[in-house]
Amino acid sequence: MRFPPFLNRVRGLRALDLLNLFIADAQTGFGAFLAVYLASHKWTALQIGAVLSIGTVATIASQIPAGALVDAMRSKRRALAGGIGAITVAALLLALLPYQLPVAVAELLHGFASCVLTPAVAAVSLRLVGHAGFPERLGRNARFAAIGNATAAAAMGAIGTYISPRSVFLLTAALALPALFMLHRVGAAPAPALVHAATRTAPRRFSWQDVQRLLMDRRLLAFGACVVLFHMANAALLPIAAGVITARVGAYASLIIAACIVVPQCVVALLSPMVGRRAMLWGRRAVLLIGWTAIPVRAALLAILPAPALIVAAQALDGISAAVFGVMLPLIAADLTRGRGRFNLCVGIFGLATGIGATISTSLAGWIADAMGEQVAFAALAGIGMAGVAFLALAMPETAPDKPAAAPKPAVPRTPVLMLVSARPAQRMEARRPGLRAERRRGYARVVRGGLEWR
Amino acid sequence: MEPVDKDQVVAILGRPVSGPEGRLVGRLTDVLVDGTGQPQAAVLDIGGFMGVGMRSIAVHWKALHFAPSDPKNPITLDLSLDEIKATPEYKGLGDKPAPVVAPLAANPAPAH
Repeated sequence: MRFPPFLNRVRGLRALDLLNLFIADAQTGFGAFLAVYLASHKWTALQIGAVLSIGTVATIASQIPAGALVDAMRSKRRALAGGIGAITVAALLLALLPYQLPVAVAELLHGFASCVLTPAVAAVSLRLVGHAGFPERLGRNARFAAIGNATAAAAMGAIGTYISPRSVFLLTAALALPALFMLHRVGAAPAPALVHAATRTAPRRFSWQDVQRLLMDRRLLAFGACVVLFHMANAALLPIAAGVITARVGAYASLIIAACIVVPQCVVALLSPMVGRRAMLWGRRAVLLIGWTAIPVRAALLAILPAPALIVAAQALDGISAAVFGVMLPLIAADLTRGRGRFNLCVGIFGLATGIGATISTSLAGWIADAMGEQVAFAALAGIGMAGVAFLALAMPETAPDKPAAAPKPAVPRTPVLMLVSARPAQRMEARRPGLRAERRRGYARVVRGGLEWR
Repeated sequence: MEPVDKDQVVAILGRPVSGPEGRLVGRLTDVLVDGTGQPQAAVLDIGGFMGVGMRSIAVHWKALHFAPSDPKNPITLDLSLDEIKATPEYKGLGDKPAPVVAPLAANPAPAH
């Protein structure tokens, strides 16, 4: 059955929602849980540490090559499909062959694939909605990714404990099927006015001049430094707080740690769309400052709050900064590369900054916690977080293209069927003259304007 | 060659460890032996959720009981949750002596 283009578009946007959810789902099992799984297969601590650092190094080292690769690929959907496929293979390798070589290969595959997925999802979204609708779209992406993370963490925690650690990776592999199906449906949505917009996000011919121009951009360096400081302050907070909980709380420690993981995701799911809209209304700087400020506040709270329930409350602040970070990273990348291309490379550079910051954070804070106690570690992380806020306030310029417009309407109409009826007369004209549509319907007009910006 | 019946021995590395009330407390990940090969202590990974917040402790060998005929709960740890909670983290055998926790009755010898 052939759908009218407008319905196809709505369907594509809904599919993109669920695509974000399933991709986030499939990422949850990798990470800290892998250590539990490998220990259950008689791996020694030494072997586990070695293979996990292969994963860390692979993720950091692939950020920039993966970004450049996605830029170079004409079809971002194919990049996404490849990434999802690689995650599936990695999960199956882990589930079926928990031996050194296959696990190392799985870690390499997952490291590279995750570096492809982040920019590619953002690039597909940008292609679908254009620059003007992008902040709001990123808010929705982050909302559904957070829902995926939260549900997957809860479900995988339960089956990992009550069924078997292996079943976590079988579930991960199985989650790739709905992700691929949603990717297929996203692609079914044509956005004719935006075809040239898509090509402009990434000129296919590689030129050093472009890359050099991107790297010399003061805004890129400033935000990159902010990202490093953000993760230096942020990454170690949860592991150290969880360690404190395990050490202090008896019977329900696991439940409280689960709450510390799931509660922030719920906050992200609630706040992200608002973050996207505020970034359009207030500009990027104001929203970034709120998100960055939440980190030192949370670190300070963790340092002084002894009761586990209060630790969960402090973790809810994590949701604020995670929502801001999740929306703003691709948004700033889109701002910086607007009309010039190399969007995915730019996301990759920020991904590299994330990885570097997080790695420094866990080793530095782990060392401080060992030598001087958790309180001092939290205080040090609060100090780094405050440095991040100060740096953001002093060095990061506004990147929004121009004065934010009046209150934007949601990119996805709340009542698609009604909209479809009202949009129908315009549809036929749209086929001949894309610009006409702009006068008829604001929701679409923004998109068209976004598409026309690259003339 | 000496035949060993599956009801007489049990593989323990990576197996779940239950507490006295039958609750799962962690996983056995390593065994510390003395110069004669006699096991002195076991290293357990305990707690956490999805690997976050997990930590290692070393417990005296006498704190563990093994049940080869019970494949579901092959290893039982004879320590209360409070005792487990109070145990300092085991960070490998470095310069400092490793903290090994024992049940009060066992009167343990040091790990090394």
